[in-house]
Parts: sequence; structure tokens; C-alpha cells
Amino acid sequence: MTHRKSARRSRSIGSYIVASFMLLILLVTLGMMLVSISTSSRELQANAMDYTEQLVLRVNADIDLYVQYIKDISDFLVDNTAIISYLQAARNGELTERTEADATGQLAAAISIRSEFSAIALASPTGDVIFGAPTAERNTFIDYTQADWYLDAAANPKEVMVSSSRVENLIADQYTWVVSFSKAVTNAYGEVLGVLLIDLNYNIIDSICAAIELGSRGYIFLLGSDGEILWHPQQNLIYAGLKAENVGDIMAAGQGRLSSGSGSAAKQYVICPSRDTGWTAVGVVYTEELLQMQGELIRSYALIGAGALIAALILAFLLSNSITQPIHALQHTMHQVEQGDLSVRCGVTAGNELGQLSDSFNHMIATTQSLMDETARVAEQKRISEWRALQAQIQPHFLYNTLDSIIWMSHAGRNEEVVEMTSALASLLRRSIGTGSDTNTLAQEMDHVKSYLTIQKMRYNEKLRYTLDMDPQTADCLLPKLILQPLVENAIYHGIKVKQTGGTVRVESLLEEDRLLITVEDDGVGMTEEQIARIFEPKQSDAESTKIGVCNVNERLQYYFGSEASMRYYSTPGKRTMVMLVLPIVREKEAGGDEA
Amino acid sequence: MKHKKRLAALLAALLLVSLFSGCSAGANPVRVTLVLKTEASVAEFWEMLLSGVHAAAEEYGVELATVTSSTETAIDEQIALIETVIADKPDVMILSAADYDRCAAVTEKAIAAGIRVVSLDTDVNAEGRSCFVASNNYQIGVDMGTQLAQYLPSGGKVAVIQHMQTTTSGTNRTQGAMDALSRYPNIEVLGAYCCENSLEKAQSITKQLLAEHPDIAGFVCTNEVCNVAAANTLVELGLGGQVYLVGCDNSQRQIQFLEQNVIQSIVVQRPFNMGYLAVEQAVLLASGEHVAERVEVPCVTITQQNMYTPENQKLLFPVTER
Repeated sequence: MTHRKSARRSRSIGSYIVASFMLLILLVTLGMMLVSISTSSRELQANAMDYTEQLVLRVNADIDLYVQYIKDISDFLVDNTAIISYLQAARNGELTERTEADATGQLAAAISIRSEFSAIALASPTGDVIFGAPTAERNTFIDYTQADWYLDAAANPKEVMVSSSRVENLIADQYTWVVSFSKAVTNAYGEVLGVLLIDLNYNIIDSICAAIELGSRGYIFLLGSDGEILWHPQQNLIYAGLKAENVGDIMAAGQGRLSSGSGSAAKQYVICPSRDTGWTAVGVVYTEELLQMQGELIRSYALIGAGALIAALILAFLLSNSITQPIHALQHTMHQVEQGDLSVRCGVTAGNELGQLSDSFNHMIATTQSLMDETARVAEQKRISEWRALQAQIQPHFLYNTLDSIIWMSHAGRNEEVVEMTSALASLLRRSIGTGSDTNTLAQEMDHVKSYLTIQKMRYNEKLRYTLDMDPQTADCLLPKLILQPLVENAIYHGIKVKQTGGTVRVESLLEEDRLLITVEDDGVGMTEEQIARIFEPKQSDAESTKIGVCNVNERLQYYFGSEASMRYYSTPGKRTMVMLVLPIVREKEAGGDEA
Repeated sequence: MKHKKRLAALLAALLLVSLFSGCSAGANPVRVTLVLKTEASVAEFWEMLLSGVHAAAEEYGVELATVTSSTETAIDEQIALIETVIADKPDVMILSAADYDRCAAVTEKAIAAGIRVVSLDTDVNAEGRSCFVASNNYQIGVDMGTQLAQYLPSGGKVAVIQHMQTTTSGTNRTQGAMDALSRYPNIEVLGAYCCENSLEKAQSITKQLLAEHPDIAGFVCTNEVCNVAAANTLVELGLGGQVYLVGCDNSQRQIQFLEQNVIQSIVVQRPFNMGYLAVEQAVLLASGEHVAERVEVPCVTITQQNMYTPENQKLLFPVTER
């Protein structure tokens, strides 16, 4: 019960340590993670956006360069005399093969510069068109003078007009997606003679923009000056109406950054307008991807955190074990000590407080044991000395009286009686001083009692009668030395001596079942209940009374036989007193070790 | 006993930690097989449709396979192809059925094998087909009929040149056109004439009709083949622009006839959108979401006047695939 209770307590120490450790590490890790993630992800996002902006600006610069280049060619061609002559001739209806060939040669030279030019054309208001490419034929079903590129250029003769992406329908059987650059050709008076058209293959924008990668989903797209989508990596989806960009907000913002959409479609626009073209390059980064970076960050932090937690867990277990295990060992040892086993020692060898505790405990057990040994030794010593004292106590008083009697009988010349008494005394003394052994057989005890009674009989004459009746089977039963004599002495002094008529002392022994029964009976004055109750109380200072013997006899019986021995007084006041000893049978041969 | 408890606590903590760190295992890509009834190169319609399919496949990260039977009439070949698809067992099969009824059994077998089926452009008579993505062919017919009627305020004789009698596109468009034209009391519908998707046959039908009915005022053509055949015939007979021609589908030849005013109107489907939406539906199906049983892709009526508006030129002239 005690053991289990304390075991539970120490387990709770262990789990308490582990829990506290885990909580602490968890809190620290989480705190660190939150701080690091918020700073790192902010930085990551800012970096990503800056990077996007740089890419978009580069795209813008590339496109500007291209546009500027085409504008330069346009400017060069519209000032070319062969071109002007052709249109002048067309206006005047004086076209010759020569002028057409000259102008076509100029256009052919220009188109050969760059493969990205899908077409270069010179268109007059009268419907005369020449192309740079020799194979190109005019689509006669189209009235180009109503097309935006022609009208815009004619309306702004100083400017190179840039169209948005469109399908070029000027050339028969070719429907190519292009971006058109157009510029009016004027004569010296500033009159518009016609329009030069340079078509830039749409794919060139593709090659500029599609190469840009912004994360795995991010991209760049181009807006025309009116907010129409010039180029988009998912052009088809845009045209099919399956995908849309937030053009209204982008055009309203004009420049800078913009957030749009929500959930997985949430994106960040980086808007960079170009002054040269009027176009706007827009970089798109998906917020989710930025968050994904954050997610990766969180994952790596979480991994570190998890590692720290596991390490902490292991450490916590080790720590708690290092504390609770010695405690358990100590507890186990204490339990054994509690059960009375003082020989155990606690084996905790840790060099810490617990080790010291264990050492102190071991020291304590050792001290306790030596103290207990000492106590037992002292008790034994005391018992022996008490017993010796008792032996010594009997002798002087009794010896004095006996010697007096011997002297008295010698004076009276009763020599025979002197001899009998002296030999009885000698026998008594021999038994008392004895061999140094603690025990006597019942026969020896009876002998002793007989010697004693012989002496007392001489003193009290007719007043004292006695019978000794020993069962022969009990002769070799062992009992502590000088047990019977004090009881007989008591019977004489307190039973018979005080009775006018004298009395008889009867000592008997017999075997009853496996018990040895010894009775000492007298028909003296008897005792009251109170006297019997007080008879076992030890008497302090009673130099002459031998009543001290009863207590002493009982103690020695208990010591020798343990609780199996009993000693009882039965008495009828005025009639008789009997003391009965019931003892276990210990025979001489069984207690051989004791004799030796 | 106590040791076990500790072990359990340790495991619980590890579990917590692993949850905490989160798992980032990516889902397997959706596997979709597209069964086409004809080589995409035979018509711009199919090229656009395929480019829509590819755009969506890229967008949604779909693992796409495409199988194609040689011609639209090779029904047994398509059935055999579907059998191979069943063996391959993709998540979703997008099927453009060559025959509404004859492909039904094998499609049901695919459905029974756990493949979800999205029919595209033409439907299949299969129980359990999840979704049908197409233009409304009947509506295309109605649009064409209505458009032709607009050109003939004072009425006249008209005829429908029908490309097929066995596909829903052929029958429904014809029905729509007939129904729309019959609403105009002064228009006399001579009938629907099937050319079995043959250019030559369509031309001869046109010629014959023009010969039998010199006062014929207009034609409705139910697909590109009929439309181009009728236009060729009109040009050949010098009747371009004199007899009204309303067709559907979208090709460069039709656009040129439109520019030349030989064809007055074409009702244009959005094959790109169809292909895209079919894959989108497939992805939704594979992720276990409920999808609409019918996804209708609206059409646009193109005329010479509106063909070069930014919206329409984007529809008519597909941006070439990179």
C-alpha cells in the first residue's frame, strides 16, 4: 500500500519534468518560429516583388528597344526618296514599273534586316500597295483605308503609330497576328501621300515575354495603351473569355503594385508602363506562391522545431529517469528496511545529491543496525547479570539462617542432622554456583529443590512437610536454571511459615500431551485475587523478600521458551496456593548446543 | 506497464510533431484520356478544340493522353480505341463519339470500369455519362435560320444543306434552322438536303437546287464542308453575293468568302472553349465534385462588318500555338 502510493508520486515527478520540458520547448520553438517566419516571409515577399519588378522593367526595356528600332526604320523609310516618288507617282496616276521597283527594293532591303518583320507595305490612298516580300499579294476584298493603322497614321503624320495586336488582313491568304507600326509619308508640303506599314510578328513579343518566369505560375503580360491585352501567355484563354485580368484596376493604378483576387487566385500585379510605346508590362505573382515560400519556410522551421521537441523529449525522459530511478531504488531499499531487513544497502552510485542521499541512508541503516545489535547485546548482558544477581541474592540470607541452624544443631550435639544439613547445603551451593550453564534438567532442579527442602525441613521441623513427585519421563526436560527453588521458597515463606499449624509443599511434574506440567502447591494461607494480580510485578527494593523471584522466574521462562511458556497462580485464601508452569518440552539432546 | 505508457506518450508526441510540421505530399495528377473521332488536322475546329484541351491540361496539371480514330465514319475503330482506354483505366475519358448509339455499349463498359465519361461536341447514348460539353446544335440551327431570314425581309425560297443525318450536330442544326425559318410565313423552305459530309456532293446538290429553283434566295449550310461547297458553286456560277449564304463553323476559306461577301454570315462555335471546359469538367469529376450534366458553349454570329473587331478576330484567327 505504502509502496504503491509512493510509486505513483514519483511517477508524477517524472511526467511533471517531461511535461514542463515539452511545454517550455514548445513555447520557445513556437515563439521563435512566429518571429522568424513573420520577418523572413515579409522579406521573402518583398524580395520576390522586387525581383518581379526588375524582370518586368527588363521586358519593358527590351520592347522599348525593339519599338525604337522599328520607329527608326520607319522614320528612315518615309524620308526615302524612292518611297516618296512612288506615292507621288501613284497620286498623280503616273506609276511606272521603275518607280515601283525602286520603292519595292527599299522595302525589301528593310524587311530583310529582321526576320521578325512579317510584312512591310507601302499603301497609297488610291489603292496601290507594294510589299517588301516578293510573294505577298494584296487582299483585294479589304478596304485598308478604313483600317485603324491607316487612319491613325494619316491623322498624325509626325508620329509612328503603334497598333495593338491584330490580324493582318492586307495580304491575301495570310492572316497573321502582328503588331503594326504605321507612319504617314508626306511630301515637302506636309501633304499625306500614303502610309508605310511595318508588321512585327506577334511571336517576337512571345519570345521576349514568355522567357520570363515568375515562380511556377507567375507570368508577364502586356497591355496596350487602351488597356487591351497585347500579349498574354494564355492568350487563347483570355480571348476565349475563360480567363481575365483585372485590367480596369491596373489601368487605374497606372504604375506600382496591386493586389487582386482572393484565395488560390489571389495575385500581385507589378505594373510598369513604358513611355516609348505607351504599353504597360505587368508582372503577375501568385500570392499563393509567395505563401508557398512561406509554407516552405514554416515547414523547415517546423522541422527544426520538431527536432528540438524530440531532442527535448529524449532529454526530458533521460533526466526524469536519472532522478526517478535512484528514487525508486532508494524507495525499494527503504521498503526492505521497513520490513526489518537491515542488511540491505542502496546501490545508487550517482555523484549527485541523490547519491549522497543514498550514502546517508546506507550510513543510517548501518548505524541503526549496530545500535540494535548493541541494544540486544546490552539486554543479554543485563539478563545475565540480573540472573547472576538473583543467584547471589538467594545465597547470603539463606546461608546465614542455615549456618545458624547448623551451629545450633552442633551445640545440641545432633551430629547426624548436622551432617545431613551440611551435605544438603553443599549440594545446594554446588548447583547454584554450578557449571556456568544456563539450563538444568528437571531432575537436577528437583535435586536442588530437595536439598533446599531438606535444609528448610530441619529449620521448620514438623511445621513443614513436603512431597516431590517427578514423572520419570520428564527427568531430562530442560528448563532455565534455578526456576523451581524460588517457587518452593515462596510457598514456604508466604504460605506455610505464616500458618500456625504449618503445611505441606507438593512439587509435581508430568507430561500432558506435548507439554511439560510442573506444579508447586502448598496448603498454607493462600492468596487473594489482588495478591495474585500483583505477584508478577517486579519488586524494587526487597532485600529480604524472595518475591523478586516470581517476576524473575517468569521473565526467564519467557526468555527461554518464548510465548509458549505460561506460569499461573491459583489460590483459595486460607486453604491453598498452586503455581502451575506449562512449558514446551525441550530435551537435553535437542539442546546439545546449549550445553557445550 | 509504466514503460509502455511512456512509450505511448513518446509516440503521441512524435505524432503531434509530425502533424505540426505538416505533410506536403502532392496529389497524383488527374489522368484524362481524350478520344477524338477524327484527326485534328482535318479541320481548324479540331485543332482549336485540341489547343483548348491542352491549355486546360497545362493549367490544371492533367496527365493527358489522346487517341484518335482515322475518320469520323470509322465507328468500329473508335469502339476498339475505347476498349484500349478501358484497359488503361484513366480517371476520366473525354469522348467525342463517332456514333450516338453504336458507341454506347462500350462507353457503358468504361463507366462500369470506374472511368468517368465526359462527352465532347457529340453526345453518346450511354447510361451514367457524367457530363456533355458542346455547343447547342439546335441553337446554332436557330441562329443560322434567323440570320438568313434577316437578309430576306420580303421572303423567298431557301434550302438547308445538311452534312450528316446520323450525328446530333447534323440533325439538330437542321432541325433548328427549319424551325427558325418556318416562323417566317413568306419564306418557303424547300427542304434539307444531306451531302454526307462530301464537298463534291454538296456542290452538286447546290448546283441542282440552283438549276431547279433559279429564284432561290438563300442557303443554310450545317457545317464548313457544305458552306464552302455552296460558296464555291456560287462563285463558279457567278452568283456570289446574289444568293445569301449562311453557314457555321470557322475556317480560312469561309473567312475569305466572308470578306468577298460570298458568305454573309457564319455562326461560329468556340471549340477552344469546348476543349478547355471538357478538361475542366474532367478535373472536377476526378476530384469528386458535382458537375453540371450539360455544359453549353455559346456561339457567335460573324458577319463581314464585325469580323475584324478585336473580340471576333481573336475568335476567328486563333493565335498559333507556341
